[in-house]
Amino acid sequence: MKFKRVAIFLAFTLAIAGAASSDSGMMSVQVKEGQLRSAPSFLGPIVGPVAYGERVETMQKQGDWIDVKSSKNLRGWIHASALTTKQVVLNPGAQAQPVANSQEIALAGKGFNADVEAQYRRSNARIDYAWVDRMETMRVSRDQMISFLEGGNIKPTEGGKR
Amino acid sequence: MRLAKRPSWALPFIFPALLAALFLWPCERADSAGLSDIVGGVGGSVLPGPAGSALKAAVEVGKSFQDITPEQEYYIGRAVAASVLSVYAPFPNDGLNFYLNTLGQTLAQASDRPETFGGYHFLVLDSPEINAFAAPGGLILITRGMIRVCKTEDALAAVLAHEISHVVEKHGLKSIKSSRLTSAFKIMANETARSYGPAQLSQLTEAFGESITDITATLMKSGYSRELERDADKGAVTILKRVGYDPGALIVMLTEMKKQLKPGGLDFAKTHPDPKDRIEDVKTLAGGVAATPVSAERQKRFEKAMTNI
Repeated sequence: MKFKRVAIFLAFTLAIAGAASSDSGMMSVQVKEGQLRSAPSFLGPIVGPVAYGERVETMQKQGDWIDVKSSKNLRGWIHASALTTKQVVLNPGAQAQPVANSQEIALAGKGFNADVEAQYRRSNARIDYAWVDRMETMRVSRDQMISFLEGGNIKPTEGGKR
Repeated sequence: MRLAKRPSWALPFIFPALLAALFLWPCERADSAGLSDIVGGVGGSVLPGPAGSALKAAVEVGKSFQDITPEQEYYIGRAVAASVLSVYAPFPNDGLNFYLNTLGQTLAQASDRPETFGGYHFLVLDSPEINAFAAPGGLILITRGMIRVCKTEDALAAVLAHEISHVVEKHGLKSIKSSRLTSAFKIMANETARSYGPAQLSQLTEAFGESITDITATLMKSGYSRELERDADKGAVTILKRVGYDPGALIVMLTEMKKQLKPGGLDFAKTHPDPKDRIEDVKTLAGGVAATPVSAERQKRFEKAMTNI
């Protein structure tokens, strides 16, 4: 009984502390490879990369773009869809106690993950991933996008800023 | 797009601030006991016993498709795309696929969700059917038959923008039956080990396989509801406007499809609402059908890319 009360108290503390940490403006990268840009636009020059799970400090916001400082002190703009207010736990198995999906935490590599995909592929041999892997190598750089737009006389509207 | 889905920027800050003020919780205390300290941050240190239990009590197990992380969406999308590719052969034309990716990835960057876990990638399918499929996370497949219907780059952009919007709005994930997710989230909640045991892995894989079946059945057989298609058309118009393409191209495309699709056909006709109904909706969104002239350069490169289609 006593333990239960302590647990509830701690849970409440955690709720405040967890939320307070986002008050200080910390977010996490939720994509495989994020990029910081020198301007709040998808055509903005790339400053450098941020890694999955990396914590970034939010400095200001403009539309859907957020100006952040990375843990490596890199400063730049990143689209909000690349970030989460949750803490991404990259190594959840390392913890002694179970944790679950929550409002504050996202577990990396858990649930539907590479192991599940491998098992799925073993039991569905007719499903071939070769072209899926190949698709993922088809990447278009910012410079290629800019010359594509210019070459086609296409002028992004305010949306280019999104 | 439905902005309401995105949590308000201010909310995460206002609510805790109010709570903290209410309990006169000193800021330094709250900071020093930040969640990152307790769960060990990205480095993953060991969680102390009582705090671990509290953490378990404090958290809620995910419930809906909205709780699927971008990383899990990525694995779902890969399996859905692989499933579609087990029915349709790819069209391995490097030039055309590169053109399609340049156009598609540029459009995706102007969407409300330019960043997915693994990014947006596009591939042509070697089929005369008029069809296109958007797998969660941004793997988009389009048939030669559909591309042949497009007479301009703007028309092709309209088709791709529509498919991108299905990804942005997570329509594929929405078609997963909630029972699959319930069982998957349950395993995640009870799981402590660094990797899954054989029983957990097979349960998870079963839920995964069923989720893939739900999505592929929707994409290839039943189709989305008229409402979701309308959302995707709306998203497409927004993307086209932002990038600088003619949003009226979507109407041109739908009109052309109406001519070419056979009612009761097995392809796009089966999985999509009647183009006639969609045209009326899009006309309102696009603000009339004022077709802007396509530049000669744009048409020239489009036709070049279409050489072997």
